[in-house]
Amino acid sequence: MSRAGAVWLVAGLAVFALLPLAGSAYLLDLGIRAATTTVLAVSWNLAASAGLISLGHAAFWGVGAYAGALVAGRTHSVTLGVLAGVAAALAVGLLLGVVSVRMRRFYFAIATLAYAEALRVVAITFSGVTGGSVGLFVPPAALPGPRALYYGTLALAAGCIWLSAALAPRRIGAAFLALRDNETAAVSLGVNPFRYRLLALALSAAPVGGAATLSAMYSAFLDPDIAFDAAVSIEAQIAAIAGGVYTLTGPVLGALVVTAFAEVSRQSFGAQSASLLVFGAVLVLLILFLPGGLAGGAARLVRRRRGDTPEPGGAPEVSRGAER
Amino acid sequence: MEFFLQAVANGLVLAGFYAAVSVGVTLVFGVARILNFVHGEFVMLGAYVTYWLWALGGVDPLLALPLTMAGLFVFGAVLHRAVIARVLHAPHENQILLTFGLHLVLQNVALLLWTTDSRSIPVAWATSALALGPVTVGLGRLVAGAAGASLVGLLFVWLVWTDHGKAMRAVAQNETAARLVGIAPDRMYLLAFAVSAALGGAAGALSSAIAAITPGMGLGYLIKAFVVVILGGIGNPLATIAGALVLGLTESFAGAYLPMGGTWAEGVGYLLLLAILALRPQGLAGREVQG
Repeated sequence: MSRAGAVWLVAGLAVFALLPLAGSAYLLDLGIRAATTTVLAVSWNLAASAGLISLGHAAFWGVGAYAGALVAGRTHSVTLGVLAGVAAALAVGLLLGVVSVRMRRFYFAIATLAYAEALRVVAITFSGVTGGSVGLFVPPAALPGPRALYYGTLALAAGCIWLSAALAPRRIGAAFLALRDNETAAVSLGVNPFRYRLLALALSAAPVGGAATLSAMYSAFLDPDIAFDAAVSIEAQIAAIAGGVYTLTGPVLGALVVTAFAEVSRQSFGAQSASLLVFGAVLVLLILFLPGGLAGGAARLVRRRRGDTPEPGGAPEVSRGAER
Repeated sequence: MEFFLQAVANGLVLAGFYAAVSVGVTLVFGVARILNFVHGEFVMLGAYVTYWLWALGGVDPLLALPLTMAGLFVFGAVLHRAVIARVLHAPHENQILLTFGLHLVLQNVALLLWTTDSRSIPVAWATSALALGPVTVGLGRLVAGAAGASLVGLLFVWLVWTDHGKAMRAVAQNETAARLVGIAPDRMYLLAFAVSAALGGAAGALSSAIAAITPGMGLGYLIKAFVVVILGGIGNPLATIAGALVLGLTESFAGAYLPMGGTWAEGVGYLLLLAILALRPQGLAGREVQG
């Protein structure tokens, strides 16, 4: 992580760390949601940066939420719960990764979409563990207050950002990028696609499980439809794409924008279907007109201001992963 | 033995219907190399068009079939012209995310317009049963299976023997060569997408007499369609029938022979999908597809 980047991260964290001092429960609620979406967006982007387009991060979310809630419910320890959530999501990421990271891009997207749906059916079927459709209440003894939840989620978000930033300049980050842009060339340089993609998916899945556990504690209730809600997968990708996929700042920016956007659309339309409708439309418009997201658009604007000729690679846009 | 034959009959009927659900996905992928995540919503819209024709106009679902197909054909053509055509040559990620976004839009528009209420079309003939020797099949299911299989057969005939069909296959095989002999590929992409939407709508119409109609029904059918085309090898309409047979029979046998069969029948498709993708990412019959 560059020095300037570290300064930005610490400064941003400091501002967010002070948020509970405002004493507003509403602001705290928004903060928790923004931090949660940041975890999702940065994690999703990490997998995407290795060429893995996931339509099913809800799978990691759901498994993490159940594992975390169950462990926290038994042990009455928030920390153990979060660790269990992270571990479970990591395990699922590895397991599903072993099966699917060898797939071609199209098939990987299909498979991830199916995982989340399949796991939802599993959660309904194995009602002995999950409570089935009736649901699962997290016992009050295992519930931290909103302020603790906020700091927990914020720490997780900072961890995700640090991880992506730390990997980018290293061999691992370069290998991810090479695999995404041109797998054949990457392999000829000695990059093992299976191993690196598996790593990317596991690192992308693990924090999502932690955020899911905290979120389950926040609402104190889980059922299969909440745990494996497709909206989770959708928020993850929309935030990353809106901000600027394959960049570091993009997904963070996107998470903040999406949280604000979701809040406005929730207040103006009420129904969840309305915000999903708006999300879908935004996704379509972004892909058509601003595939580089806000970060990509801003970079292009700056270049035009300066009168630079467009660099051959262009902004880090979605369109860079063309060949495969 | 009768139990076994009954399971076979149910599986075959289901297969015909699944073939109709899926063949549009294969057609669009084969011709335009786009994996269409909107396809399930064509099925959903087809079911709702049929429902409203029945509820408001008293039109029998079977008579509504041509109308539904025509409506979805136009809808598919407009959607292609307005949106899909712009990403024909974009990276696959963009195509996946774009069609996925459209899926969200259509599903939630339906949710806002028609609420989460589950609807059905209780026509008398669909609920009556037909005894065929040792087996009994609900007439609604039989019609859905037979009509679905016939539509896939018609598509195949159209692709093999008509000028439009030949032109479409030419584009699928080699766009440049097709262009050289005077075929406009863009029109073929549009046609493929519109025909695919019409077929999806037909599947929705056929489903309306035998299954619940909800705004969220599209995703389930989309995943089933993916299972079928991957089983058969994506991009090959004839292989879709093979894939549909495998899925239909597996679901029917799982439902008949496994404890808690009903629940497993739904899940078995996912298991098949994951197993196939893990072992043979190019499909059972398929060749390697770049994608």
